[in-house]
Amino acid sequence: MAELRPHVDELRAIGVEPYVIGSGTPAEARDFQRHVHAESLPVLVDQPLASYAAAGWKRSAAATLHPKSWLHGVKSMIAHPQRKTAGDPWQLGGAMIVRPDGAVTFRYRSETGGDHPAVATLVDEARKAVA
Amino acid sequence: MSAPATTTRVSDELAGVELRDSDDRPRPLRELWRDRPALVLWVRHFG
Repeated sequence: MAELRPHVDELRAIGVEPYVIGSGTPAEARDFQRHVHAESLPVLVDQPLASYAAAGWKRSAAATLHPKSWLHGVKSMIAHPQRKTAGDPWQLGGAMIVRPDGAVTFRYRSETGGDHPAVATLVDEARKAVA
Repeated sequence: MSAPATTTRVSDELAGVELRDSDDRPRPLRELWRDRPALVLWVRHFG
């Protein structure tokens, strides 16, 4: 998420509002915002994981512990120190861009821990969504 | 990973989910894209 922070204003200038959803508590969401210095980025919580399930995101210990996850984790820790897990440790995430008419113009499902779309891809897809 | 080129529509099931904001106030998911496109990122955990 730290990678996205410098691009929040760019996304808003394009006309796309960024949001983050996590599975921790509201207090953990506030702590997360402070930790990544992204107080202006709305962080929402879904402790029942209803949106994760409805979106089709994977929940799997095997995928979370996949060797690729370790590689992603090491890279992430170097770039941005990790802290304790706040939320469901087996729940993977994803990303969507949704237009006001309900059209999903971009969808990305994480297959292993640390698998997420590149920020450049998100910015490109944001531009396409408003084109 | 998956990033289909075709445009689909968000499901009613997903749009109808009610989230909480960081101040523990209810926030319907469909409100996120009501006024303009939204980039929604579901993270694995806050960490």
